[in-house]
Amino acid sequence: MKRVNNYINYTLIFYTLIVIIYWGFIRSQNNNWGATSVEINMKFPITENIASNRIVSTRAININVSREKIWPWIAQTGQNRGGFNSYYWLENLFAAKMVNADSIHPEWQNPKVGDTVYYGKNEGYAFVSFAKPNEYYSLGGWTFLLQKIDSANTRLIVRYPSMEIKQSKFTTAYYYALFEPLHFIMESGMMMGIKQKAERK
Amino acid sequence: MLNTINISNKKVAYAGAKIAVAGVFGYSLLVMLYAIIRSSFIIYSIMRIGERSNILLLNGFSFAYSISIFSLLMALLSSIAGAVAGVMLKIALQYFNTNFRNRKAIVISFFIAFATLLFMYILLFAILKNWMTFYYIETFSFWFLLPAVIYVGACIIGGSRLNTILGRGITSNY
Repeated sequence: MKRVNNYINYTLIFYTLIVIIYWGFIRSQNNNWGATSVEINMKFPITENIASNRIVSTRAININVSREKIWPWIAQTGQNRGGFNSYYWLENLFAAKMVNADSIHPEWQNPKVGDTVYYGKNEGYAFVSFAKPNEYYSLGGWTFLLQKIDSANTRLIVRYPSMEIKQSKFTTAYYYALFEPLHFIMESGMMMGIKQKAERK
Repeated sequence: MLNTINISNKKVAYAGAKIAVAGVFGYSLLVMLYAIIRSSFIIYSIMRIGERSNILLLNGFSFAYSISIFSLLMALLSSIAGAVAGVMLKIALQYFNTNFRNRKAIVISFFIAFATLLFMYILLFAILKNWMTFYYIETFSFWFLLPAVIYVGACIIGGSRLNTILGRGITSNY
């Protein structure tokens, strides 16, 4: 039993170190991964009312193709469409039944305001709140902005207003302990997934 | 009644809970390693030199942090299952393995593990129904296969050790 005790104690020490490093150095960078200060503070072309008790993250990535080649992958976002282009194996651990499309599907290329987009099978959903081909796409405040750098390079900037974290102590704990780091993993994975597919020849 | 070394149910339950927590921690560390390595390979293949190290670091620590927190929550729940299984094992070994034979103890431990697992999965299925899916091999392995293997293994090792301890009372009489 002594070995079991030691093992539990060492694991707890390891977990504590991870928590310290995450809160000390990682979390602040997660919220604005890849984004410049201009992008973090910029006003998006479409502005939705964001309650003050939400945490807003702005993340950005360079994609070395034109906006027109990126848009089709964003337009078909959703579990009920072409997936989220993120880590499907992680989403499916939570029964999302996610399949990331490997090609562009013409039937999903015209998202309309009010369209339902599922995050997982029988799970949460959001409505498309804004969509302008080759420019921006928004799912209830979660906005994907395509900013032209030049004819062959684009900046994908993603802004996400969190859930209202001060609803209850449970919501606050759930947000900081699990949702926030997992959302970072999935959203950055999605941005890289879009980049990979758009840049593919 | 049998002449066994008297170990209180409380002590057995505590030991069972600790073994369950150790099992959860071991499994979590494996999952952490798997998730970090798999996602890092993907990132490495997409991002260019100069853009990689930052996202690899952020992604790795975000995985480590969320899995650590999830693991602590699961450890709390599993400790209850471990404590119950420990006490059940003690009772079963005392009643069905009066000679405290090790092989028989292993078989009994396996059946106790199997029965409690079956109970837990039926309960989970009744509660989660639509959420439970074995659509992908990852889902099946993550939630069912690997935890079951660890749980059965821990029950057999723990049951065998408990049997040895309980049997000391008998062997000391010879």
